Amino acid sequence: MFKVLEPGISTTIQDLGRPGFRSMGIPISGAADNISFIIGNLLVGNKINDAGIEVLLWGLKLLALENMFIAITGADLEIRMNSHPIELWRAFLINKYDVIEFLPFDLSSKNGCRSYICINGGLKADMVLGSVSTYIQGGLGGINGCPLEKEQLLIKNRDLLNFKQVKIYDKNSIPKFSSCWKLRIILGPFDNLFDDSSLNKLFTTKWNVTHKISRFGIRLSGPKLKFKDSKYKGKKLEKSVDPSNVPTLGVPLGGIEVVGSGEIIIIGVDGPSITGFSILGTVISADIWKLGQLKPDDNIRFVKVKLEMAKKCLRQQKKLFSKEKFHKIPICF
Amino acid sequence: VVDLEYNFKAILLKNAILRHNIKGINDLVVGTCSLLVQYDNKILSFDELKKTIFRIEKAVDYNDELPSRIVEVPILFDDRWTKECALSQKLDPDFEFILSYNNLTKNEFIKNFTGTKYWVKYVGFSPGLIAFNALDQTKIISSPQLPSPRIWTPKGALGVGFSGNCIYASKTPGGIRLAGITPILTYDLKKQNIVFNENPVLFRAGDRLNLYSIDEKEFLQIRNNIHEYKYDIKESLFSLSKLKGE
Repeated sequence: MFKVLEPGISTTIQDLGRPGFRSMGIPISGAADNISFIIGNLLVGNKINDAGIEVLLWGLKLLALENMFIAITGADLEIRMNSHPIELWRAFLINKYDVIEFLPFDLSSKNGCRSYICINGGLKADMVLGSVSTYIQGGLGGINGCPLEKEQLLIKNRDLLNFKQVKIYDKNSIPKFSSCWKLRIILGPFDNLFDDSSLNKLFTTKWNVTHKISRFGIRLSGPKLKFKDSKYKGKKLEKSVDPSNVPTLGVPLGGIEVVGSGEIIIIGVDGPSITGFSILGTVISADIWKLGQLKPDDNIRFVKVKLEMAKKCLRQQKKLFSKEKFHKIPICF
Repeated sequence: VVDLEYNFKAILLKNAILRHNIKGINDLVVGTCSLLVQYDNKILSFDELKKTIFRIEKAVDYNDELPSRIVEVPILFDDRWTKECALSQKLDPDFEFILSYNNLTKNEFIKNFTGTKYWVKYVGFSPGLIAFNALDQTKIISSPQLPSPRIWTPKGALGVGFSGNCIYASKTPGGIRLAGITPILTYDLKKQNIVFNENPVLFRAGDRLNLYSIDEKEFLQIRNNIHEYKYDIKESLFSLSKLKGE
C-alpha cells in the first residue's frame, strides 16, 4: 500500500487499456508507453496487464505503508527514494515508510517524460469494460475516473509473493530514449490528397513536438503540407470547403491527421475514435510506445515502412519480453 | 447534403462482419461513409482479413433490411443551460444565430426540426457522442460551426452542424452550435437507469431518432428522476429504399 503525499502533474493508474470500444467512442487508454509498462510488470512477477502507476514528469510523492517489491521503468526522470537516486529497470524491495519522490528538472535535460511504477501484486482500481485504465475525459477507470489525489491510498490487488530472487532487466535491451525520435509509419488512406513535394517533406522534415501534447494527441509543427486541388468526381470543390476536411471516419491509435492549418496531429491512447480530418498515415504498432515518451521540443522523423516490415518490427519487439532478458539475482538484505 | 446511402451500407457491412464472428477483429468503427476495421495481426494476417472482408462484402445484399431502432428523444429548445454555457465563455447565444442563419422564427424552427426522423450516422469522437441527419431532405436545417470551439458543452446539448447534428453525451469541448438540450442520459457508466445495464452507450449507428419538444418543467421532471425514466425505444427495421424515399 502507498499513500499519495503529492499527486504530481497527472499521475494515473493504468493497465494495457480497453480495446474494442472505439465503436462507442471509448478510446483504448492504458499505459502510453506500453513497452516500459510491460517490462515493469514482468520485473515484479506480475501479469503484463496488472495495474501500475503512470507518472508524468514530476511532482509525485509516495509514502510506502508496507514492504513491497516494485520496479520503476520508462523515462529516467529525477526520481529519489529517501532522497537517494534509484536504479530503474530492476525489481527492488521498498520498505514501510520509504518515500519515493519525482523532483522537478529542466525539460530539455532528460529524454522521455513518463515513468512507470509496477508493484508486485498490481493495484486495486475501478474495473470498467474490462480495464482499470484511467481515462480522465470520460471519467473511467483508475480511482473514480480521476488522476491520483493527495492523501489517497493505493492498495495492492493481490498479496506479496515470496521473493527469493529479484529480476534485473538486460541493460542492452532497454528501449532507447532520445529527444529525436524515429516514427515508422504506414501511409494512407488519404496520402493521395497531398501533392508529391508535400509527401516528400513529410519524410525529409525534422518535425518539432509543440506544447500541445497530451495522452489525447500530439501536435507537431513544421512545414505546411499542401493539398492537391480538391476534386470530387472530376468537379472542383467550392472554396468554402477546407481541403483537409473529409467525411468523418474512424481513426486508429497512432493515426496521423493533417488539420486545416497544415499542421500534423498524432492520435494518442486517449484520442478520439472519429475524425473529420484527412488521415495521412498511421504509426506502426511497434512504435506506439514512443508517443507516450514524446515531450515538447523533441524532434520527430517519419520513416515509411510497408506492412510486412511493421509486422516484423512487432515480432522483434516481443523478444524484449522473453525470459532471458530478465536476469535473476539472489536477494541480499 | 450528406448522402446517407454509404453510411447505410457501412452499417450493413459491419453487421455482416459481426455475424461471421471473425477471430482477430477487435473493433469496427462506422464513419459517415466508411468502416474502420481494427484487427490483431498476430491472429489474422492483413491478406486473410482483406480476403475475408471482400468475401463478406460480396455476399452482402444492400437491399436487405437493417435493424434500426426508433428512439424517442425529448428536447428542450432554446434552453437556459446552453445559454449559460455560451455566456460563461463570452460567446453569443447560438439559438438566435441558427434562427437568423436559417431565416426562421423559434416556432418555425421547432416545427421544422421536429418534423422529421433522424438517422444516427455514427457514435464516436468522445464516448457516446452521436452524429445524425434528417431523413426528410426538405426539413434539413444547418448552421456553420463556431469559429473557435467551446471549452466545454453541457451534457445532453443538441448541436446543429453544417453536415449534420449531434448530441453531446458528456461535458466535452465542442465546435457545433447549440439549439437545445435533452434531459435523458445518453452515456452512463453508473447505470443510473436500467437501459445502461448492458451497454454504457445508449445509441447505435443506424438508430432513428424522433425528437420532440418539451418545456423546462418536463425537462426537470425527467432529469431529476432519470433512474425511473422509461426510455422509449422500439425495435424496427429499415431499408435503403426507405432511406432514399422518406
